[in-house]
Amino acid sequence: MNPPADPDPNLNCSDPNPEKFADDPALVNFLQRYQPEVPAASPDLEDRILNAVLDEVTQSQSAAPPPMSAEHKGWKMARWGIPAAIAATITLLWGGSQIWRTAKRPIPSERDLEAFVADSWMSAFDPFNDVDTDVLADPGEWWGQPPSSSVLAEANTNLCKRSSSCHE
Amino acid sequence: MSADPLKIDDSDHALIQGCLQESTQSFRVLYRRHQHRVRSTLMSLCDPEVLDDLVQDVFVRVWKGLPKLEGRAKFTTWLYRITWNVAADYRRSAAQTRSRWQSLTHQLPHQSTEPNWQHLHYQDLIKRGLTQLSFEHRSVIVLHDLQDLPQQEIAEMFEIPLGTVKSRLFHARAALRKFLQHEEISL
Repeated sequence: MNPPADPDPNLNCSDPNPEKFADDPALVNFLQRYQPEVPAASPDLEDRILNAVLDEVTQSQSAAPPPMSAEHKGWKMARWGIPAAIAATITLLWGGSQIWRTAKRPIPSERDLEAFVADSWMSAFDPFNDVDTDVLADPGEWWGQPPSSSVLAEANTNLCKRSSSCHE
Repeated sequence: MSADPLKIDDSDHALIQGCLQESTQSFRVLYRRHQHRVRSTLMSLCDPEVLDDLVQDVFVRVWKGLPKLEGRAKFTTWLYRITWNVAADYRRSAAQTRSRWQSLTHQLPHQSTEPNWQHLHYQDLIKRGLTQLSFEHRSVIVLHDLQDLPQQEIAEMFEIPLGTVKSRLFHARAALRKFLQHEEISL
């Protein structure tokens, strides 16, 4: 005999016909009275189960790492702490020496500074002091428009100074 | 379904605490207290010849699962759930071959010559009737009508609506009644 199909597996408590789920005391009584007798357990079943549980306990204890003693914790800290402390000391010493070396560099005199500023200033306005000016060798290209005659004259003078082929 | 607050009764709770401290003596008491309900449930859902092995499987699973239980469910509901899982696993593994128990029970009515043959006959009818049911219907009728588990607990156990439990119970009983009538048993 095939079991009847469950017509509504998601039927909830708000079923419109709740009396159809009423108890069936005659059937329940028959089932309880003649329910299959449970055979006795084998005498060693309890010990088998306890032994299986003990095996589980043993396995879990052997799988877990052993608890760490305070002495072991101290030694572990020392093992990792000492190399870290040495590395930090070396880094600090090296960094300090670099700072000290920078601090020891002599401060130039005012005269030297003035000469440096003047030289930089002049170089900034000397077009031939820049390697990129080779690309713009024609002074007409310097400003994007025809330069004035005075600028051209000055440029020619500078060109002649640098070029050995100029005899004027 | 929402998890219930701790409902473990004090005695079970104390034993479970002992088990969590790896006290096998506490577990022995817990086993003795609940083994009969596990055994009879498995008897109604599976084959008697593998009963001891299945009971052992249930209680080993209980031991392993106890650390996860506390505060989540009533212990007996949780125990029935494990029992049902073991039964379901066994049925799945045995589904390919016809069990020896089934073939024996089909022959029993013709072989029984005991004086209380009527009692044995009725027992056999119930066994056969239960095997006619789907596993879902059989589980509900075993847990509710034979183990006296409340419908609400069964609903929580299977994580299904209460109405579904009622519906399965109704159809399981109807099927059993039909089977018994077919066997000329009038209730």
